[in-house]
Amino acid sequence: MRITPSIQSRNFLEDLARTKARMDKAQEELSSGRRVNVLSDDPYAAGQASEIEAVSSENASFIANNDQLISKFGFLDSTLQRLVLTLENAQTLAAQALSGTTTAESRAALSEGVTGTRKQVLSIANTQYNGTFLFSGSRRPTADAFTDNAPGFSYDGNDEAVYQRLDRSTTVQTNITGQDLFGDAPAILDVLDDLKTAIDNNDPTAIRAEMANLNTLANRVNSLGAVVGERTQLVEQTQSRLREYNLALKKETSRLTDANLVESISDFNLADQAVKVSLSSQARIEQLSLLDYLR
Amino acid sequence: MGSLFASLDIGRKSLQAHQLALQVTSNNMANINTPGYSRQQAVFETDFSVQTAAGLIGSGVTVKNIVSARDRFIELRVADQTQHASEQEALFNTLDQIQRILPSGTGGLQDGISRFFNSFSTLANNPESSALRNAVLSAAQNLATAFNGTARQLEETKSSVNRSIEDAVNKVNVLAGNVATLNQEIIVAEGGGTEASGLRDQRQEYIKELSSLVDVHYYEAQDGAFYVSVAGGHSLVSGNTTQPLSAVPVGIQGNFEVHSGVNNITNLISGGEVAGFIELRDRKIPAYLDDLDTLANTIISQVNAQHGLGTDLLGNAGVNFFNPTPAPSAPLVLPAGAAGNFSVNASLVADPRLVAAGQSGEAGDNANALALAGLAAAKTLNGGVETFAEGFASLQFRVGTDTQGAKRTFDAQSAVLTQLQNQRDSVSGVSLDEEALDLVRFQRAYQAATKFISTIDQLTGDIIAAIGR
Repeated sequence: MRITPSIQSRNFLEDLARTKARMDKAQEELSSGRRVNVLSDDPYAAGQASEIEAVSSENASFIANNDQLISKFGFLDSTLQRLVLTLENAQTLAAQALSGTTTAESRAALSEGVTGTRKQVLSIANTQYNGTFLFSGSRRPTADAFTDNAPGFSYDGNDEAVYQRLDRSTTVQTNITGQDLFGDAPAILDVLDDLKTAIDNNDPTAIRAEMANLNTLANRVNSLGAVVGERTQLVEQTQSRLREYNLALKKETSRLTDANLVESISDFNLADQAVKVSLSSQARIEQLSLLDYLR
Repeated sequence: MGSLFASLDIGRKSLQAHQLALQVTSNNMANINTPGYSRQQAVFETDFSVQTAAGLIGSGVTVKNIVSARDRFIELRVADQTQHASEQEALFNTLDQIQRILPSGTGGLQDGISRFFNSFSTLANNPESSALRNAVLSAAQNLATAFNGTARQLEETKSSVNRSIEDAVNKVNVLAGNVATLNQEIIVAEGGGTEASGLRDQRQEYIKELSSLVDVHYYEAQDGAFYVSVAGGHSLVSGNTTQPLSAVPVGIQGNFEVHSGVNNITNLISGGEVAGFIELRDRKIPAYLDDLDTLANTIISQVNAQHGLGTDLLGNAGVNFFNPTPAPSAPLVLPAGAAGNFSVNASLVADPRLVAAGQSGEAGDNANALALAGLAAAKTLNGGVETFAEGFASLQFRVGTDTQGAKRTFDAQSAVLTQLQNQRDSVSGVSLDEEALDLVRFQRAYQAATKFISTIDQLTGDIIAAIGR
């Protein structure tokens, strides 16, 4: 086959272009840190990474929501503990009222103490978290959720459970309704009203009955506190799983699309050497001409 | 019978023949970088013989003719391969642009879809929050912008490809005219029996350029003219006349059909850039737009349906969250599909309380926000087999595979074309080493001829001097 300068230069330029394309690809991998920079670099990996990106983004959203939920459950739990302490305080007042040494004066003080406890309970019942009532169900009363009509009260919330998704398949109730906590019989505020009346009337039987009710109520609040604790645990477990899942997704995305830097550097060096050798050899070939040897 | 004067004539012929050969050599060297140039050779021949007492003897040398070194079969194959390579190059170049319209990562459509559905999940934390409601609407508008932008870029690419078809048809007609003109010139120039090498080289270059545009087929008639046809047999050049192609805009989108006379040959073109452009405009890009529209349409219908099951903060049933895709109407405003027209209901943007986050009418009810967020994980696309994210990833996979395929085919076709061009140059290309050798050979022969003439002259002088004595 005759080799002409046009063949040599065409082959040289095309080989050089191919080598430079390899060099460019290696450089792109090194500067971006990614093996897949456009879809055609590896369509399967790009498609997979795109799906993973969506799942990972959704998980990140769940994680952010769950963090908020953990804070809310923490606040809910401490609110319930305050309520338990308040109920225990009422039980102490009732116990004192039952002692044989109470006078009319001390009973009046104890009655006043129960009134104060009732106010604390009412205050707890109207606790707000993030601008909304903690125990109003799905209703958002414009005034208080619980209005004092002493004796008695009115509830402006509802008994609706509110849920949140912890991940794609797990949902959890995020609230305890005022109905569950304060509305169901025996209602806390009613019990305190009755206790005050019993103390005012110096009625030991009634006081004992209300003490028993207070005990029931404390158990109820503690049970709800345990439920909140279980829910918190569920959120934390889900949270931990989501974080591990996202880490695994990140690893998978990295496996699919990240550049192997050692390989990229090696490719770059090989291509660099090839370009230099190619340029050098072509420069020498270009100099070779019979014309230089003829006189 | 030979004589000294006859010998002088032999010397003259040798001088002339080698001078001509040197001219051919210098022309070859001068055209070493001329595209499509075929090297020429002076073909020497012994001149007529004369009778001597000893027998017949040649009367010197003459250049019989000057021929170009060319291989018609390889030239045909170069033209044929140029069609395949150019078609794949056109496909790859445009697909490479398209794949960059559908990126992953922040700001991409996938990111927009995720953020939109995630915003409902966040809204569920505090469904009456106007800040979170505005965040949902903002994410929805960003999603609309992403869909609109992607559809618009695809439509613009399609429109640009369409204009390229018209440009290519105009180029084909100009090149066909050039071939016809050269046909005429070749017929005239070769009437005397000599090959019009330069004209043939030019014509072959025009054929090569034509091949990069459409699938041309040609043959050479006895008079030396090329008869060129396109799209499987529709005449383009017949001798010195052309049958120009025309780009006829059709429909409200103004898609150009390629016509040869009254025949629509659009779908018969099977090579060259135009074939690539037609494939892109009529099949690839519409398929991508269809996928994008299906995705957009499913999101619109699913979100609207779920939103309609909810109740807004005013206690009313949810209105359409996204505006339904309007039916295409004339004059068509592009982009026409669901992706191009993807938009958020303006009444929601004006009053975020209309976002139906609940189902009971209570402000703190987040049931519908949760259901809307849950749509992200629901397999509602393509007959219930894909989520929205999977659907978009499938589109990315499809575009990526098409681009990668076009690149690989283009590389393979280019390699074959390079090999054929090398084969062609191996036959027709100029080698400086060869020409340098020819230069020396002809120079030496020329020098020998001058020496010969000098010797004969001296002999003649000697005879004249002897006669004078």
